[in-house]
Amino acid sequence: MNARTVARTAGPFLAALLAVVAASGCGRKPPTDAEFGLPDDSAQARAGREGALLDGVSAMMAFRREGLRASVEESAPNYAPARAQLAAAIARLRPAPGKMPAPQLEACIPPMQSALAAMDQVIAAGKAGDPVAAREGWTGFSQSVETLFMLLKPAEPGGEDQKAEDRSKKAETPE
Amino acid sequence: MNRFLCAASLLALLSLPAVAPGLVPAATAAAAEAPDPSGVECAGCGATSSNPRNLRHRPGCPYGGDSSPRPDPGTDRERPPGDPAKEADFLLSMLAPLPLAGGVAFGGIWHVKRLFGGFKGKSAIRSWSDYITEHYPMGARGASGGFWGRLGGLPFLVLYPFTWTLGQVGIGVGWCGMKTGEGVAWLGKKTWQGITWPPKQVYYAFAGRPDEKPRPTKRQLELADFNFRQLRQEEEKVLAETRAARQAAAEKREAFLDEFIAGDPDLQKTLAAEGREAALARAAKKLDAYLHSYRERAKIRGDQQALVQEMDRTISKADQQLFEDGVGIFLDQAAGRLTKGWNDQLDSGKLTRAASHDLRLKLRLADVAQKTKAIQDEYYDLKDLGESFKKAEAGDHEARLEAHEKTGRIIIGWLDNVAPAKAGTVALTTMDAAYAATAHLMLGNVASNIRGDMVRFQTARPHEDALAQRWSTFQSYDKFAANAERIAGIRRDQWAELEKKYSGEAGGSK
Repeated sequence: MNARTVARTAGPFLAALLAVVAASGCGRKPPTDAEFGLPDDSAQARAGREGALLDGVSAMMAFRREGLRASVEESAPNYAPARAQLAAAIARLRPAPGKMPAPQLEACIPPMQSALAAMDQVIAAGKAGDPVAAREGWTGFSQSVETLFMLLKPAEPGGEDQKAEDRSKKAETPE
Repeated sequence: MNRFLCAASLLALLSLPAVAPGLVPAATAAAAEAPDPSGVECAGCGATSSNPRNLRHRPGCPYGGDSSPRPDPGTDRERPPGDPAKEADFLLSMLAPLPLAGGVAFGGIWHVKRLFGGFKGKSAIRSWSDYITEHYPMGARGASGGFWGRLGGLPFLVLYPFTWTLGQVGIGVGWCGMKTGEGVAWLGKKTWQGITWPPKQVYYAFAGRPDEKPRPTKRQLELADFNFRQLRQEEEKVLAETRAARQAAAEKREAFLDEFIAGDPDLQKTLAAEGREAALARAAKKLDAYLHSYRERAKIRGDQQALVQEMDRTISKADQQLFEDGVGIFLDQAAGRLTKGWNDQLDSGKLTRAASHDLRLKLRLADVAQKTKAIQDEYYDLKDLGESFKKAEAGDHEARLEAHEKTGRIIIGWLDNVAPAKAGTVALTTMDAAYAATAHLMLGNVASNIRGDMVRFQTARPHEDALAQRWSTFQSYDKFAANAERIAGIRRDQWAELEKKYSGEAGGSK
């Protein structure tokens, strides 16, 4: 059996094998950024997240204001709207399951969550008529506010946020 | 094809010498049986003849003395008499068609049997030869006749290679046909079952297995790595802050405990006798006990407060009515005086920022409350009136009267707003004041009794309760800071792990 015969018989098989290998290697697409789970870095998504954060802060302010109003007016406080607003804001801020969190606002979620827990304690203590538990709840709430305040730094041009953006842009460009 | 033909004829030629010797003994045996040519004599009747075939016996001879005459000797004249070898050959040639026909028949049978797998372990030629000769019909009488039999069967031997090849090809074609049928049946079944097409192996080669995740690009892995590094860095900052907060809370707590120890003679003794650690532990224990006591009393107070609130609501409703009519004028004046006093204080500029903020807030709230209340009252009056009118339209006589009365009240109220010194106001004020006073008389005593109990509970241990409240606050700080630190630590570790994973993958994909 000479080389020519071998080439003639094995040639089609080899070609078919190569075609299958090429198909298996090149046919599959890599995942898109969304499928891979990268956080959405578009201006719209960022604005959405910042809006959620602002909503959360305003809900915390509303909660405190409602407490003050109730104590001045000596009437029953209605904390439900503020609580619902904060819970919705946290849900909007939190990344979707399977997605990576966005670094800039991710750190703000825990203090907001602890504020929510403190709100729940205040509301439950108010219903049970336990002033000590209510005071502890308010203390936790103040602490959460302080923590959040420490995390929310005023954005300066050329500050940390700007640098982070520049870095992310640099990482996007292929080297 | 030619080769097969050559081989077949060669085999036929080779088999001839094996067939030919059979002829020789037959010829010699025929020659030995030939009679003596000198003449014969019958032993029974004494008749003689030169040719034994023409011997005529006398009548009564036991060897053939029948009356019937011999056939006419003239019929035998054609045969050449006196050559036994030739006669034997002639006889054999006369018998030849029989073994030839047998050879044809048994050759055919052999052919078919051989094609259908007969004669295992024998070569084709050997089995052919054996089968034909053993079925030779004259074999039992001593005549072999193999030549003619083999000659008859030879075409079937020559034909055998071709029919065998055709058989093999036929089996191959049949096998292929069967497999094709099976394939078509499988395809039909899969299509019937609704299995997706193309087959999954082909599909997987292109699109990947369903459980296999598509491989991210290097850029995506780098972005993920960058993202988690940032998260980790942010979380490290948070962790440092929470750690500082926890330390500050612990310091505050300890300062408070020191203050408590300094004010407590028992703890002072412990401090002197057993040291600071023991004193701190005992102080914490004592404060826990205070807090527990305070909590228990607060729970009892809560139950009572609910009762009191309900009674207060009744009283305040009466008060409200009173306030609205007449008495409110004086109270308004008083409030005005109060707000005036607040404004004076604000204008004086002697207040701290926090105090002035408080006052401004109170003024604003008082203003808003007053406006809100005026609007609300009118709204409720009108709503009430509307309901009464609805009932009146349904035929309720009392509701009609009520609606008239309410309308009157509203009109008087408006008049009161516009011109406070009208005559109608006085009667209404007296009536409502009487109602309020009755309510106070009826409920005020009970409420004041409960209030007294409450105050007694609240003021039983004022110093300890104050300590308990402060202790509770410091503990809250401590708890919150420790929890925040714990969460930040967990998250920092999580981000660090993910950062490591993605940096490894991004590095590995290069």
